[in-house]
Amino acid sequence: MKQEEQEKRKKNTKNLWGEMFAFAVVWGIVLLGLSFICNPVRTRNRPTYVQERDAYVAAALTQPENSIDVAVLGDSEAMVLLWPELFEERTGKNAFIVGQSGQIAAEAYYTLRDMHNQSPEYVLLETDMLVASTDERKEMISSYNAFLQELFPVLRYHVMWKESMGLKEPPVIKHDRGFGKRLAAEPYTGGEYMTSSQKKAKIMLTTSVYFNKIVKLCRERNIRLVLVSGIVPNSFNYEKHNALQALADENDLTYIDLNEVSVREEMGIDNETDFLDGGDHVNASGSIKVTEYLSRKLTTE
Amino acid sequence: MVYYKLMAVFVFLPLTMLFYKIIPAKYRWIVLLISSLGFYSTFSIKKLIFPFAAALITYAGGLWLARLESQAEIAVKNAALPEGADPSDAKALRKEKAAIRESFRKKSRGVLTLGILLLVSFLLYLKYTNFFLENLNSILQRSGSATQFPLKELLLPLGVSFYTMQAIGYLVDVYWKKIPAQKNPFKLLLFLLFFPTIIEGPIAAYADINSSLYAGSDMDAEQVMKGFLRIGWGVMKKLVIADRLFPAASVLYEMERDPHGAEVVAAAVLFTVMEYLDFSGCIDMALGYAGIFGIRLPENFKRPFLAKNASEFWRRWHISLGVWFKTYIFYPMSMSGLAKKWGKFAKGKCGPHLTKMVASAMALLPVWLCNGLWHGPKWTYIFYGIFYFVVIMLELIFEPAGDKILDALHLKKDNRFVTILRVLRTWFVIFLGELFFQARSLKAAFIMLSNVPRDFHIRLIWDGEALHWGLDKADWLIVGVGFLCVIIVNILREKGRDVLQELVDCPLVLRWALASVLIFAILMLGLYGPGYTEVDMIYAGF
Repeated sequence: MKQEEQEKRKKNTKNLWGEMFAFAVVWGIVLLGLSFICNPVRTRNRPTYVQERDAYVAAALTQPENSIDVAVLGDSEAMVLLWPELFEERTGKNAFIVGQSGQIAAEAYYTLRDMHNQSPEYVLLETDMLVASTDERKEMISSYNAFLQELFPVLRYHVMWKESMGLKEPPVIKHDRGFGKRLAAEPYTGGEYMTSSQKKAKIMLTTSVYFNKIVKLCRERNIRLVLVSGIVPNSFNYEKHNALQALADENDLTYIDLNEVSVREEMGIDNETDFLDGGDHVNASGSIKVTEYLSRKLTTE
Repeated sequence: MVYYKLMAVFVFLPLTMLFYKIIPAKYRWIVLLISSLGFYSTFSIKKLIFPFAAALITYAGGLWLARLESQAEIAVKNAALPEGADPSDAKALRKEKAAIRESFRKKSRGVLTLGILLLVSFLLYLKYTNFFLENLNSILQRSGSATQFPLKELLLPLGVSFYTMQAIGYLVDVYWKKIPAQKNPFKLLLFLLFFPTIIEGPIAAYADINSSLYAGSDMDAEQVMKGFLRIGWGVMKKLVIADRLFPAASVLYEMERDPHGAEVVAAAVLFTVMEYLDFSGCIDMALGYAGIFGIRLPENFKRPFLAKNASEFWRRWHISLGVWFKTYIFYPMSMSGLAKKWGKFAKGKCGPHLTKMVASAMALLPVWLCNGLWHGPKWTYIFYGIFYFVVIMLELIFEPAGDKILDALHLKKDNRFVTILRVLRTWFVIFLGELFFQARSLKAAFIMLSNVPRDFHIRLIWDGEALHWGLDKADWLIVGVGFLCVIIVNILREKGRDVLQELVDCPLVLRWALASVLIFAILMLGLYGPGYTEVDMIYAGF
């Protein structure tokens, strides 16, 4: 009797393990299905059914085929870096800032990978995402989340369920090719921040892994990858410059550091009028100067 | 990394399960220890020094106590009569043995006191230094002194209030000879740092979990299924309901709004519900995580809103904290010299009721003072503790009178109508307590309370005002339906039903359907992912 019970229990246990496995598989498929349904980019008619942070990425992913010549990737620094309208005027190239506030290298990689229907000539990678993080664990967790959200977009877009069900109006987003036109001005009052140093800032391992993937992807798709450091007096320094220059050299990439004294002088950056928030981001006036400079730089190269 | 994060559920837990499965049973506790260290490291590697120090103190203290105990036994065994005494004098021998025991007891008490002082001083320094300095500065300022002490930059290590309680409990239990001292320091470290308990408890007694914690028993499929279901249930409570209520609970406590009566009541009620779902949800996750590895942690909640008085509420809410205070403060205080002196003094002079009341007050006051302080360095928390002390004392004082009234009305205490009234009265106490607990300051709490009679029209809430608290109609509907599910499960459990077991035993189709509804609710309606501001687990801050 006892042996019979044991046998029964053993069988039941085996069944339960099998059941859990089957349940996980079924739910994996359901997740993929839900992701397909939820993905606002898939149908191209609901690109605004996203959180504000993802608005520019969704807009970029739904642009007409081969319409983007220059894709700018990066965090909030990228979103004020280049004025696409002016850039197009100067170069004849259509630029689109595919930025997200706090974008990390993993997100930049997945976004670029998802732009199947575009063959940009250039990808400008704003470098703040490469040197901003000093916490490997946080970077790893964020990258893992980005990976899961890429695998199952429902994890990213589920937040728009009210809009999808018609319970709420989707937000009206004027993307202006991803550019954040900021007119306010708050002067940068700190001193010179680019004092020469031999030291190199540390780039997180996870960031490096995804950066290498971006480099590889650009090579495969014949895209010229250019690293650009926006003007950020409050957090940029020579150590970061050295790390990024080394990274560019290792990968045979062009590196444009807008923080360099000579470059700032050439652009005519005015600490009084060209910053939005005291040295964290440039404002519209600063963006115009940066755009003029980058236009010249990219056309003369 | 917290329990409901994708990283925790889809990477950390499966990896821990995998290694736990492939490692021989004897060494499985090492997998749990490494996982616990890894889990803690995701918050801070540097701050691991604090639980390490606590474990070291606890380990050394435990061993020292055990050594003194064995030395005492040997000394008693070898006890000889004093020189020149009559060899047949048994009384003298007993006296000698008692003297030896007393000498060792004193030493043990000294070791215990030292251990507790060290552990508590860490907690006091990390948690209360700035509170002390702020109050000192305030006194100095009021007295016209220009001296001000700068506040210290102290970052609280995760779980310090929880593992310190466990460590003290362990030392006292060794002292009381309830448990043998743990000889392996790493096993003790696992007891203090065990990842399911480190964020918000429950505060587990060593005797309750040590055997299962170190046994390395095989993962049972049924346990694993139950564990995952319980984790899912906890995540639903936290991400779908509690976090959704957060904006409303926050807005209503903003004093700049000068909330009217109905809003103050809504603030207290909504915060209480949110706190319950947040905390009990986290405990569900903790119990689920531990249950997967066959480790049964103590339940921390037992349908607290069905309590018929404040004392019962605390036997149903944050049970492990209540049990800790009862075991390590209430009982020792009840048996203390002071309590005995009062008993002797009151005998014949005071009535039995008064004697009992004063004795209870002597034991309860430190319990509730510590309860308030344990929650954190804020006057509102201290007031919260004292508030419950007063309420429980009033309940004790008026209990006989209440019984007489019921007798006069020919009503029994367990009469349904009486029970409902008593439960409602307890709700009033709970909500009032939580109003003070969550208020920005004591002054703000009293202002809010004084606002209650002003514009106390419940229709002010129905008139659409609730839609200005950060939740729209769909959100309120989700909160309502979600909370209803929690109530139904709680009622079933109150009736003695083992809901999890029934779920595991029910037909496969039904089981899959219910589990799928739970996952779907979390997936689509849970407040997680980009665009949401994460709401910290409330008790993780304590």
